[in-house]
Amino acid sequence: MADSSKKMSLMGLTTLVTVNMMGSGIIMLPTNMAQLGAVSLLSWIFTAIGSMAIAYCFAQCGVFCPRSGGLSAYTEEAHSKSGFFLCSYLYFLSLAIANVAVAISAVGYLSAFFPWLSSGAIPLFVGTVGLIWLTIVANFGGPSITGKIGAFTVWGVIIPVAGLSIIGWFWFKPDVLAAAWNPNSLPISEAISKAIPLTLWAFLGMESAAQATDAVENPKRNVPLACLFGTLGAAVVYVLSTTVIQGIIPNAELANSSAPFALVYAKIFNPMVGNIIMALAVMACVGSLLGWQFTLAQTAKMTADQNLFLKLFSKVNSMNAPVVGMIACGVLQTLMALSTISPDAAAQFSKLVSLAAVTNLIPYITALTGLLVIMHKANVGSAVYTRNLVVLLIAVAYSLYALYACGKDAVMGGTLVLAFGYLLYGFLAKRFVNEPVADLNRGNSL
Amino acid sequence: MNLLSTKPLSMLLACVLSMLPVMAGADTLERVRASNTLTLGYLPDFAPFSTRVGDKANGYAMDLCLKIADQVKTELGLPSLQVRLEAIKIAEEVSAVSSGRIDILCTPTTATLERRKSVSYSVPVYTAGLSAVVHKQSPEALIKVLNGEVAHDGPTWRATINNGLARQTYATAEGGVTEQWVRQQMRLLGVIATLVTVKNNDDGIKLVADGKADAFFADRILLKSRIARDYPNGELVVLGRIYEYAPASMMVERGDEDFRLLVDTVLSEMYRSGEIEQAYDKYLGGISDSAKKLFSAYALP
Repeated sequence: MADSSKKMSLMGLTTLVTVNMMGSGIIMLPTNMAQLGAVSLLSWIFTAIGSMAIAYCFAQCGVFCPRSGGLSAYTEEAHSKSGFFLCSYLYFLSLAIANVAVAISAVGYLSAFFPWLSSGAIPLFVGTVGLIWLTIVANFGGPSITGKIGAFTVWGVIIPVAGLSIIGWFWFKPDVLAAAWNPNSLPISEAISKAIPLTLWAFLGMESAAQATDAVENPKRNVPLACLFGTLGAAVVYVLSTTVIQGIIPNAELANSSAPFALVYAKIFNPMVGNIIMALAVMACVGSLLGWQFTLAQTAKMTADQNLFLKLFSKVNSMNAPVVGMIACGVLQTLMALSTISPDAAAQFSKLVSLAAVTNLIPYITALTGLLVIMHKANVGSAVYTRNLVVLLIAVAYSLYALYACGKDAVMGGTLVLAFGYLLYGFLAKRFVNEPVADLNRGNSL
Repeated sequence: MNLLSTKPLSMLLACVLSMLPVMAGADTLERVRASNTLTLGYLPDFAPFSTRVGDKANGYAMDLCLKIADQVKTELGLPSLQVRLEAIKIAEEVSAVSSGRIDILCTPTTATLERRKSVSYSVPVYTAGLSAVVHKQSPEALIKVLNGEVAHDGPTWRATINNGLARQTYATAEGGVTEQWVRQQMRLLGVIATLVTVKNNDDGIKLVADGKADAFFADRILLKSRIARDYPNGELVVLGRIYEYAPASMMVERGDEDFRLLVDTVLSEMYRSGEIEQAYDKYLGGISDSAKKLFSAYALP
């Protein structure tokens, strides 16, 4: 490929997936888990298995269907053009909302270093919009630059979080973990059911490998591998770091910490190291926002390439970056960031954030079910088919549970947004009336 | 002070007797008769319970206390009995009663075992409710958890905004039951917070108004009254939730069953006749259903 140097490598894509998944969610996770006690670690068994099943199915989709379009392309295999559009539309909304939210959280963490940022609504707004645009402009250099910046900011996760998973064991005391096991004396089943929501949605983001199909070298090989390695890496680091930290810091202290990773490093070394760790975590959070801006723009571009979003999203510059689309995404996010100015609007925005998890999960189910058609078209052997079918059912069951657990308000909002999407598609559908149904024919002829 | 008597010898004897382990029986009514003065003590800055206005005082507790004064006049057959009001400081509320400087502390306070070693209490006249004041601009999540609701009922994922629950500062008046309670509850409230203590309610409310604390815990009615007076623009909000209830009563001298019985009789009759309810409406902004149920529990039959 002529412009392969402007594309992302396997390493770049894997780090993108890992940072996207862990970036901002991991920072407070040990505190939230400590509030329930170390018993909450058991929830990882459920969550890690479910999310690996999803990652495996996405990887299988990527192996047998290496075309551009990510989740939307997998969806189209089973649910045709309207499926493609709705998947992109829901996913695009989810990312646009989530990016604003990640920026707001990042400003919150940054305020530990720049107290001005937390001094009122206007500083919060300025900081949020500043971060949104900083991470968009940093993407103007194209996928290869994005991958390189990501490879740098990933150290913000590797050093504090992955590092702790390794060196933390030297300071690990089993009796500290045992004392932290169940501080509220809840029945084990209740403790686990309370803990599952802490980790249930921690895997959202694993699909970002598939969304980058257009921008990666050798996508047929690299997209599935990055999806698997990225998710596996994140799962291992999640489990190890949240376990070891509960054996170092006494439960009461950990449960009341606003920066648990900084706390553990301050305890192991000194407070100075703790501050450096906090700075690294913030860097990783900003790095994840960079990755998400990239994924958002790629999703819009792939959909526009299919003549389903405005054409402006598909224009790329000489560095293979869809700059115009990125600016449009930036304007949309800036408008949503206005919500930080009043507490009422912020409350409304937090409802949107819950809704965004729903519009992220519906595409999971439509894309996962696409695997059934993808395997049929690829004529896979019956052993592979059966194996994949079992994993697929686990993945769909997990996704459905995650969707159910979002709660009725979020699911209702998500459903309304979905239904509205059909209206939008109604206006677009005429573009495909005279198009030959090439894909389906191809499937039958194989 | 008003205990001055023309019989120093018998006074001395009384003093010696009162030091014996068996309480010799303080005699408030006798003291009142001798001096022809009933001294009502109150905290001067405790609206809406007791507020100094010139050389008088008004408020919910003062209305109740004047009823008691009327009954003392009737009981002693002294229609010309002088009723004197004496403002006292919070720090000396127990010593003022136990030393006989005042005959009753009208402003309701909460009984503790420690205080009961020095003073006694009437039936409750008010149910104190521990609540909190927050700034109007507080994040919704903080207000929700403080109100006992789930901070957010949607999914927790990478986009869930965590502000509102991290790095909070709580304030409470130093010492007393509230401070202990907040320390115990902080973890259960699911908020990451540090606790600071302040000297009095005004300081605590000011911390919240200045944005230096996120929530100040104190009695709900007191908070409401202070805020209505000092921050009328609505920038501070008192939460609807009551964390703990504590009956508050009038302090009387320890070991004086006759006077205490008189006080309790007046108050119980006021409960039954509905007079307390009227005073509640007038000063404390109406009565809640739970307070109403407690009324019937407080009144002695």
